[in-house]
Amino acid sequence: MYKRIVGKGHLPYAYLKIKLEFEDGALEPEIEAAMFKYFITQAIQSLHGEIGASHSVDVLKFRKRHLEAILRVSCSFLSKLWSSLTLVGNYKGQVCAFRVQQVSSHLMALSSNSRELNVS
Amino acid sequence: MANFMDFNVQISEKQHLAKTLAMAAKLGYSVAAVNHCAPSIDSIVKKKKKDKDYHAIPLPETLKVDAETLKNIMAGTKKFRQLSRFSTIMEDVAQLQKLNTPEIQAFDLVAVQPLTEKIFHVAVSSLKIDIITVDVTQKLPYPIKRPLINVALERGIYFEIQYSPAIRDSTSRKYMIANAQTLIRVCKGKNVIISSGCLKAMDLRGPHDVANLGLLFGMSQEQAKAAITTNCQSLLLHSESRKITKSTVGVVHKTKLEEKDKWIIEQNSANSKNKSESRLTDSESRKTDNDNSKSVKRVLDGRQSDDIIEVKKFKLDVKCMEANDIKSDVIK
Repeated sequence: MYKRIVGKGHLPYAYLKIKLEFEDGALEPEIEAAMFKYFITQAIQSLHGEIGASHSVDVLKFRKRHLEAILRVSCSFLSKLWSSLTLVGNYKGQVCAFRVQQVSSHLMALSSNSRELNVS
Repeated sequence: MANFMDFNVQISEKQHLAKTLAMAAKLGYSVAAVNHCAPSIDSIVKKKKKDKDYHAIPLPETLKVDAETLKNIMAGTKKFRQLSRFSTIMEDVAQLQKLNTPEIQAFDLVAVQPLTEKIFHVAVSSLKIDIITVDVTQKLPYPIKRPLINVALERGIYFEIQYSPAIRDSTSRKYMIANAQTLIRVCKGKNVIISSGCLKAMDLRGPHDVANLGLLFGMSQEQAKAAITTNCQSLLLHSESRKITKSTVGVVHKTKLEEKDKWIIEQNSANSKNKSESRLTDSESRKTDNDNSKSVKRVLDGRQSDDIIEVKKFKLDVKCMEANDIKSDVIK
């Protein structure tokens, strides 16, 4: 019995669920969606320069209260975006960090997170 | 699932440290090493206590947070282990011998950051260490060459890249990327670990983020993941073996066994004859390096297993040959 599997290459987009964290007890600044995107674009530009900034990063959803967002990038640019998010260290002088919670090439997969399940 | 490890959490106040470790546990690390960094080894070894620069080497245990705090940290995660690590910066060949002191060797991990090519050479080829740190805050002071890397591969020494200075400022980010890429080009992505070197909890990044950072340095995906999982695991085994080199196996008659070791016989009498015999030959075969062991083995085979008692581990600083002579006398 043979089964023929045809790989069609990777999907065009990758989706990331990220959260911007500040230090415990520090006052979290209010960040608008536009500001949030600008912050990400700057992070990319500081690490990868003009070439990095030329790729488009879409913020699909932004939850202002939790500072959580869902980003969409082309698959080939994922590792560059991710590394620039990793090396972000401060927002306007305040210590902060991006926590990448989930990465997937299907948007649907971000609807739940198996790691946050509490098995009782 | 693989265990993620971070081998460089800088020592700080206990409260801060507990916070940092809690963050590490939360991000998914299962092992973290608390690092005591001595800027120069001269100041800590063989100096008079009156000296201003003197600071004693802390005991490995004092670096760690106490059991209760660890329990709080572990809440919610399955397991979390902390290790102790000693690291120093080397600029003079004369300092090298001082690393062999038992105080330093007692640490779970020993790391060195060489400043010249000569020291790099010695550190790779003959020092009793586990990790060689590559400075990421300035330009590499020496070229890294392939033949030396081969030696390091053979001895199981790993190269460490720290990422948290790069988060703090952009100059060291430049150097980190440059140095890391140079290192990985030369050693082809093998024998590299990526650790944080963090001072604060916010300098830590999740293990998957760090693995992705490895891609930026030119590693493949497997290598990047190995840099925080399997390489660290084998590093732990290497440090284990660093501590128990210069040990050997001996055979003693049961009448000559010391009082405190009597429990071994009691446990063994329950075992079958065959089992104890095979264990002896096993341990004997480890000493393949001299002829003596062969004769010892022959003697053993001819005897009844009840006469031969136990394989006992001696920690010896004298040469193995001497030890073997003693043992064969005992048997005859």
